[in-house]
Amino acid sequence: MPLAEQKHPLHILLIDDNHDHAKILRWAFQQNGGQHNITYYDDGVAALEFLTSGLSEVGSFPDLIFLDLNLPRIDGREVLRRLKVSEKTKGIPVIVISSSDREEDIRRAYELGASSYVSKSVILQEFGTVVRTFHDYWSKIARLPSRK
Amino acid sequence: MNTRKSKLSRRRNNVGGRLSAAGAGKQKVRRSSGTNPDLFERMFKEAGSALLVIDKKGICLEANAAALGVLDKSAKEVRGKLIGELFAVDQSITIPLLVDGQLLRTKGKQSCLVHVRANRLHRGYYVVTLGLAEHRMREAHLWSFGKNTKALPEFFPLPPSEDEPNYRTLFQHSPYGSCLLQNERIVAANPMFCKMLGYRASDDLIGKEIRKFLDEGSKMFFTVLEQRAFRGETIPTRFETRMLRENGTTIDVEMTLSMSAFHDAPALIVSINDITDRKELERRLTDSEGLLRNVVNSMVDALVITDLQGKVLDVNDEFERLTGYSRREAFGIEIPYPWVPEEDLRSYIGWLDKLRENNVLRDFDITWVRKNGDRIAVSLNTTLLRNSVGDPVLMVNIARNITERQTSRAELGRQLQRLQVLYDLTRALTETFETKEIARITHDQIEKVIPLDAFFIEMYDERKNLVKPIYTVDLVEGKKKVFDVQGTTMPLDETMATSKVIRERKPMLEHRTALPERSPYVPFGNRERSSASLMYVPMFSKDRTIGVMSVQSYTLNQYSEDHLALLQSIANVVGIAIEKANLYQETISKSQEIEARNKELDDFTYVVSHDLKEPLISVEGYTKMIRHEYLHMLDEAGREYVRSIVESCTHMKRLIDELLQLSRVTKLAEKKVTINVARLIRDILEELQFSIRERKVTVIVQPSLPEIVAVDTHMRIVFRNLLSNAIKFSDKPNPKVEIGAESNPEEFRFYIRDYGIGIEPEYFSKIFMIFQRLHKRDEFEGSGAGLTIVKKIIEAHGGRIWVESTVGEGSTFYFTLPRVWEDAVG
Repeated sequence: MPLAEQKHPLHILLIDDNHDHAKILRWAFQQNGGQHNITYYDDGVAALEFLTSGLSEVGSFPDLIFLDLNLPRIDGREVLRRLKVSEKTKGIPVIVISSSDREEDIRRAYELGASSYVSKSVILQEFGTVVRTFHDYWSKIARLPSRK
Repeated sequence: MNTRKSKLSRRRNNVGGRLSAAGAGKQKVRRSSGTNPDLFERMFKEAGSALLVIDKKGICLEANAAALGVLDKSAKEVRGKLIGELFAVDQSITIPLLVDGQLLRTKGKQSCLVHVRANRLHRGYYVVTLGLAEHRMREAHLWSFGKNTKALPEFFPLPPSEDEPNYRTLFQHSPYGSCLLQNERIVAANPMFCKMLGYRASDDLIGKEIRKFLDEGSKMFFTVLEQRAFRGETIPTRFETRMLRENGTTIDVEMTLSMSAFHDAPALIVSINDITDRKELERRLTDSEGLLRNVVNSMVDALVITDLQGKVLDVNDEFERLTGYSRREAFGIEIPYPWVPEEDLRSYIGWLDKLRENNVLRDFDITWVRKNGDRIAVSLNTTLLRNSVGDPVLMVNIARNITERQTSRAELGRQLQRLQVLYDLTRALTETFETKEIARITHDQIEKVIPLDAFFIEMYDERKNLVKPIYTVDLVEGKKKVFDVQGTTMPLDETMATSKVIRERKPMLEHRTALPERSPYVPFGNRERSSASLMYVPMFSKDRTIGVMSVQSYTLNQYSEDHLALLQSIANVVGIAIEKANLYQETISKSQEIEARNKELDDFTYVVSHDLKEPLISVEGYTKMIRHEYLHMLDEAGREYVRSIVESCTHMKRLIDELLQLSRVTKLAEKKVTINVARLIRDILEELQFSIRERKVTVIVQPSLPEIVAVDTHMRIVFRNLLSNAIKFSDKPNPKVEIGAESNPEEFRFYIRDYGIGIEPEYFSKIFMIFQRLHKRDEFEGSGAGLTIVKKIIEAHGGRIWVESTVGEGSTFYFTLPRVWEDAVG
């Protein structure tokens, strides 16, 4: 079944303190999903600042947030909690990407309001499939809230 | 009547005739016979026997001095009265009833029985002899004592008629034998006197010496009395003696002597009464008294006979033995008795008071004090003895020594209590693993059986030669106080009792007779006073002395060897309990330590493996990027290198995953559930189907496999690892793997058997160690952590795992899981 192409490329906010991982993920999405706008922060505090005040730089609110759990200063879980209590950001789907397969990490992420939990190693392993599926799902299947 | 009359006249005449013929006073007697009845009157009046003369209507005509004494009345009060009036009984009493009857006489408030015997004289006159009842005889003797030397009484004007009684007829018909002595010779004797001595008539006696009729034993006595009587001295009026009869036999008589005169010369009236019967009775009584005495003395109970006021009249031999007081000492003692302790006196008197309502009181337990001060427990039975008319006369106390019984009962009770304490202590201590608590319980239990003021337990550290008090109790201002001694230690002072007990390993009992110069060793206790009685006992564990327990009292001589033995038994129990508590604490802290260390290790493993994962993801990512972007720029060697990097990454990732898994196994946060092993194995075989098919392995699963209670994910890891190993190491052309289980009431035993390459025995335990590989990596794939994880899981479930194997033939892995019954599943 042909899927309706999203009218414009997605704006993705990537928060991960591991620069290598960020670079690889960014590459992976560009390889398989076409042109997405990716805003990258390597720490949670800065990312939250961006969401509350620095949006004008890019001019658009993110469609999706990719969030790593291991972050300096404030932990990824805390970032997630704040995103989900703020009126402004709680509507944005947050996809946790983590190197941890720990049961409690997964459960905690969903409890805090994550839309999805993806293991980084799975992304890399099934590189093509995962990224493509991901792209198809979020760009073509899921409806995201319209940008303000 | 006529016959009687003539007889009386004849006898009177006979007597008169004999009297007149009796030497010196012949004329006077003859002259006075009938008109001067001086002699007979005096013989009547001064006779020792109490005599009354009554007519047939019972009216008293005359009473002699003795009778007045017995009746406690004056002559005036007696004369003309009905005999019944003289006694406190029915006044209508008739004469026949008086014969050998008993009447009650009242003297003041006391009353006593009087024996009355009436002898018929003639024409309805009677002479009545009064005698006090047996037990008053002695008293009656005393009453009449000395009354017989009074001035001559006035002439009693009896009409001289033959029809009326006069003293002559009284004399002639008296039931008493009478004779008159002058110069120790009989000058007159009445028919009764003759009869009693076996002579037919007084003629046979007149002029004979009285001595002739006295038995040898009485002669001297009689002479003395006679002499004293003639000198006008007082003599007993009545005494018992034995006289010789005509036929050579003897007769027991009661003799009365009284002074009189005959022909103006002093004469002695001898009056005798036949008491042979009474003597016989007395003899028999004495015999039976002796028998009774023997019976009483052979009694195992002590006997005390008292009067109604409690004055001791008699005791038996057992009483002497029991109390140490002799019969002589006890006689006459009145309440309070020295053998009734002061504190018991009130209850004892209360007990006697109850006798008023009851004739017999039983089983009164009381303490008696022996003469030497020893105390004995007796059980008292008291009976009130009444005389024949029902008045109480005596109290008979029978006391049984129950000291032994009470002692053995008390002893039994004490032993029971001690056993109870030991039992309670053992039970309480089984549940206690804290030394201070053990000491507290011990103190509380000891207090129940041993009086104590101070108590301590000290532990001994042999290595450092230190003692460490763990519990100390002492009196402070009269109250027991527990002192906080936690954490204090002190070197063992060789001069201290504690040291001695530790060295000698023997209990020690110490009694101080005076206050010691140095305070006894009670750490932190009251030092104002010093214990007077001290016990120290060592506490052992196996053969080591682990401490000392001490019980002390401020009372002198408080403890016995018995107490010491009991304390040692307690200390033996406590020693074991303390050692057990120490071991328990040690085990607890060790296992806590191990647990903490394990957790630390798991955390470390987790953190490290997680941190390793991050760069690995980067390496993997970049490798992917190279393969996608730059592969065409590389030659064959370059491509090979990239492939190697990818493979290494994959391997490393597996290692890290397994490490992570391992670190997570012990964190048994996951719930145990009931697992159907058959289904679980089916799932695993499904997962492994690729390699099974590839190696053409036949897997044989035992048809029925048990259900177990375990963590599901963990059991999957176990079976997956063991099965994949079995498949992996199967090297035969048609490999076979068997899975099965056996069970016993305690556990399940699973096995996974292969017919593969086998394992050298030296590796049987090594294979369960982490990253221990037996083969080169390219021979058999695997990280080396699999069996370690399996082992950890099995052990976390309380089971065991081992391997049995022969190189070249195959291996069997066994593991057990304890059976968890249905109701234990949450």
